[in-house]
Amino acid sequence: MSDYLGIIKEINKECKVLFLENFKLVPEKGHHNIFVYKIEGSSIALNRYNSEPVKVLKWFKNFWLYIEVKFIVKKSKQGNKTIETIHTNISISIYQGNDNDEMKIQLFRAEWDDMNDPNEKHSQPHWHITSSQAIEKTFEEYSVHLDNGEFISLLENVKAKIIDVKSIHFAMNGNWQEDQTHIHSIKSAVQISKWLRGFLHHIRIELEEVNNFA
Amino acid sequence: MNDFENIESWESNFGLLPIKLNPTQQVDRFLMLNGGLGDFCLKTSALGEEDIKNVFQESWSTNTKNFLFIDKDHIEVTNWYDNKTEKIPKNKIEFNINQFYKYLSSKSFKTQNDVVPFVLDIFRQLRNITFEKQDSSEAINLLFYLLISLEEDYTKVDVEKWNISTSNFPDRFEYFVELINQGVRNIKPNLDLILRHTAGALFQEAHREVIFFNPQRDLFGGVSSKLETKIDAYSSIHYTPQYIARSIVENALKSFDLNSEKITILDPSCGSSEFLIEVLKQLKNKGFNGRIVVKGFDSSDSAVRTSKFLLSYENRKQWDNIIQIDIRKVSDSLVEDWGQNDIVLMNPPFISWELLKEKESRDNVLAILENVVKKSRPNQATAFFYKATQSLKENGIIGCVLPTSIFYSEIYSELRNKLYKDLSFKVLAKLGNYVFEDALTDVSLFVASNSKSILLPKLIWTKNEKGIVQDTLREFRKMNANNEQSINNKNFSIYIPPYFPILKDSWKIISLKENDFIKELDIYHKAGKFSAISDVFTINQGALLGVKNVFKISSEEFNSIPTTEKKYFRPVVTNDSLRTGKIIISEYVWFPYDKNGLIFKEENNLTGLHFYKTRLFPNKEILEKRSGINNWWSLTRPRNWQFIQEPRLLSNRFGNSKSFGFDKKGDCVIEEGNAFIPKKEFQTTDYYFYLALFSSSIFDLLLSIYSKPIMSGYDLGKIQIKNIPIPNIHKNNLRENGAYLKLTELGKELENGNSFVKQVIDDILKSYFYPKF
Repeated sequence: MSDYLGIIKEINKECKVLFLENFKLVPEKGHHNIFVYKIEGSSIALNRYNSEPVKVLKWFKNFWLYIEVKFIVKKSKQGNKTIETIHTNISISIYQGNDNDEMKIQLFRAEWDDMNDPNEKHSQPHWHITSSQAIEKTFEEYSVHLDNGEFISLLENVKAKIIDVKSIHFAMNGNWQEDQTHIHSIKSAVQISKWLRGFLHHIRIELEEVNNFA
Repeated sequence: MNDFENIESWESNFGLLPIKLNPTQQVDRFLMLNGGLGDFCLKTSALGEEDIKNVFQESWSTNTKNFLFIDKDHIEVTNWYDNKTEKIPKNKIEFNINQFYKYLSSKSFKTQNDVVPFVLDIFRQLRNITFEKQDSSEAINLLFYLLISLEEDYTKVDVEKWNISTSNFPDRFEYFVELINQGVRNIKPNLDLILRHTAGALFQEAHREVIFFNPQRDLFGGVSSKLETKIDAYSSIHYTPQYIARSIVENALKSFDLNSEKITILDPSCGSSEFLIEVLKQLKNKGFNGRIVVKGFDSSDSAVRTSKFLLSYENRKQWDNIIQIDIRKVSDSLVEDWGQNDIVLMNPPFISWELLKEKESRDNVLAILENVVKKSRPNQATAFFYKATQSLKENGIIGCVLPTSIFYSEIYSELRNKLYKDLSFKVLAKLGNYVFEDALTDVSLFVASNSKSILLPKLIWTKNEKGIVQDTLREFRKMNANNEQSINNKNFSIYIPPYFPILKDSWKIISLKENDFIKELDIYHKAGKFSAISDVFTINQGALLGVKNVFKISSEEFNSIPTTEKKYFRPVVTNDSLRTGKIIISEYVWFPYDKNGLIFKEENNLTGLHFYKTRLFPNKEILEKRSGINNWWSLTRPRNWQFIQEPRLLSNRFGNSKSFGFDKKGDCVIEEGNAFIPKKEFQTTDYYFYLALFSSSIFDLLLSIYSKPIMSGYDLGKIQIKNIPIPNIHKNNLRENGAYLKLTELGKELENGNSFVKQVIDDILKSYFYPKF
């Protein structure tokens, strides 16, 4: 079970014609029960709260893309029977930065996690907005070098007053007007590839519009 | 270092037009005008011991909030609404000019206590109690009396001096006089400043009030001040926003010799004389000393009365009555003698042919345009425009707003060609649909002189969104003050093009970005990287069936006809069949043709057909009536090239990059569209290459430049698109290029309905074939 539902194969097939550069999700060696696939990128960026350097693929203009798909196999016992459940995590990050920038800035992530959890409360799929990190980081660097951290404390004061927006799972498919839920489980590879295709198409239009004269 | 005491530095930094508050008395007090929000008063010296009451009176009466005073190290900002004065260090402003202006603008928001709503509120109440007894022009006359009461005893007004009519005062008029004299927050209105600087906004609103008045008593039977104004979004008579009139006048005067001894100024549809007051104000500011004749025509009595009142006041107070004023009420300005003029300024009535109800009005329009607009239904504004250009003296100037259709519509091409030969264009601006508050008309601005000049006009392009035009015109003023050559911004661009018109037979104004793209295209073209579409394809028009609902059948009907008859039918491509590269067939057409033409030469040969019995014969009478056909059962224009079945690219007649498809077998018949037939032999992959190209957003951009906009797309016919530059697969070893292979692959994706590949098609075209945009 390294490619649950054939998701990886379908994404690779679909995305082959959607990028100028070669698109391929390739497996990474890992734990015996975790199967991780990452995009083959040509530049470096930081993913998830600045902790994890990843390779990103050039998308268009100065926008970059990182895709990671993870399948976690969980085994449990029901009487004498061993039950195997699969947790699926799909994470797509959009970055901005010039070719020669050492690090690209993460703007937001789109994620779809299916933990087979009937009590799931987060929207699936969902957005995480992360661009404020870059601004905070700039202030922090400035502060360390120029005012002995006075500004950091100011920033921390403000941050303490408001919630951390980047942790919010903003719903991507809250079809509430049709009396539907915002939590959708992963059912097929075609469903995922259609979602991905629509996601990329939609977000590129938005990025182009905003970036046009920025 | 900014010299804030120098008034010109304010013009170049803020893009505001400085006008003296009172040119005959004060030399250092200015109104800095943009045209509403963001205007402020300014004195180029310190506040000193001035009475703040007078300062507030001046800023309130000029419809502004802030009055700025320039001190040695500070700028003092007084604001009557906040009732306070702030001192801001000059060095702080120095490096934050834009932020400072934003700050001033943020403190300039409109309130109900401003001079215009204050006066109108009183006027409305007055109107409400006197409504039944008055027509609109008498109501306006009472407003004049109310205003005059700020300076004189209203019962003893010299009507000749003020150029107004006598009025019978309604009961309780005294009450309203007291109300207006009290002012707001102890700020007493200053009549001189109101009439000089606020009259435009005030009287436009007042006219709206009297024309579209809808009286209502309040719940308790009292006088309500909240009367509803009738709003007609498609009204054809639009008030000129102040900032537009201001910019037109400014640019008109820029091209005019102010050393003339005498000038004649005309507004043939003057309304309440927004343009005429503005031009006098700006002439005064420039110190013009010659004689002036001012002429204005309008069909509205109340507008004419207002014009007389305001112009007489301006003449008496600022010009020692030396201006010769000729304001006339006319039934149709177009039949009047406009004479020969040095300056014509106007916002003509934007009335379409269809809305011109009177035959006489239509005849007047046609008579004026008979040599330049033939066999069509012109807008009344076009007749005003042409007549105005013909009434210009040598070196005379015209400045006006126009419906944008005059800039590009085919019916006006002869008019455009003539005017481009006769006039020297100064400024052309595409302002869009959000200029008139009460209408959705697409508006452009035009300034030209009746002289010969080799200089090219300045072009202003604005994005068609609300709130952009005012900023653009402010930037234009700033740009002129700083002698900048061009501005390229997300929302607007201002530039001098390398040639004009940019596009053949059209004055269409495109953005600087589009203009740069065209320049680059031209270079690529000359370098042999492109050929015209017409060099690669023959573009043929689709079939004309002849009679509706006879020859076409649905897919279900097609499936039900006898198999032996199916060969006389072909899938038909209509407007609904093409979806971004994919062909969707839902109908079939009777197409009894083979490579030799019509299969059935005699009616006898058809009679056994099911289709003959059920569809053709019952409609024989209608079908026979068609002219230009030899056999009544044939299509009106089947187009001989469709007799042969061969691969073709197809398009709708009107559309965009979503309107193309590839008919691989060539068995489709195109109706209401075009077929692209290669001039030299094509491989199948070549079709996919061009399908990808025609389905790209680059092609949309090319259409927007080369073709004519129609319905929510473009005319895709041969005449319009034949010159569009495209890569030629027969040149430059194109087929061996990796990008060619990728595009053919993506063309196939489109054919299968995967329109998501459009973005990557654009990437390839931008990277390998077309200049950057």
